[in-house]
Amino acid sequence: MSIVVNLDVMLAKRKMSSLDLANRVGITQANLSILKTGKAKAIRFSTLESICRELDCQPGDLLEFKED
Amino acid sequence: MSTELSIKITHTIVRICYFFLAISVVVFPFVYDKIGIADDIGMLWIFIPYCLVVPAGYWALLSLDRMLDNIKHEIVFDTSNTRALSHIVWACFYAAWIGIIGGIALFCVKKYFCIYFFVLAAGELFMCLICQIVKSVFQSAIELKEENDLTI
Repeated sequence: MSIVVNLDVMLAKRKMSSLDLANRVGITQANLSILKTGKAKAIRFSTLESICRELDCQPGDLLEFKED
Repeated sequence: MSTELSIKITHTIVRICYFFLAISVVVFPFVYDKIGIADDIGMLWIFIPYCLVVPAGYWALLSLDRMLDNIKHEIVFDTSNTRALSHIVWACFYAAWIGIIGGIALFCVKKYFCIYFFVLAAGELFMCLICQIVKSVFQSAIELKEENDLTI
């Protein structure tokens, strides 16, 4: 996939668990897992905003473009 | 009319059709004699294609039954429904070919009455086309749903 989600890296930096983040953002752990594993097809701006607020980071810290 | 009631009525009609299809095969020779449809043709030229088409009718009815059951359980845009539609398409296609072959056979024996077979075959092919289009719509809907399910 061309867009890589570096959620694991940010969770490790902020010392937060997936479950904790999922509860704070208001999505299920299953959905967060889909995001982490790169299976997601799209992310809503509202979800991205919540994740960035909770992890205190920028969208660019989470999303990275990699040429195939 | 609510969706639930509509599905219930449709399901009941499908179940009634099972019964009538079975009855029609038994009753056909007696009806044929009573109303005397072109007596000189011979009942077999019409009865045999009819008997060959009845299994396709049951196949299509079973697929419809399965689809309605799924819809009742709120399983709408699912591969099981596209599979059922695919079965209906094949059943209609098979029935159309029986109609065409029956019509050609009847044309060789007697020049008249075969037109009804061709008209029925055309109807079956049209049904086939409609079901194929509905199946394509369902497949696109499944893809859109999957994409939506994977939108976080």
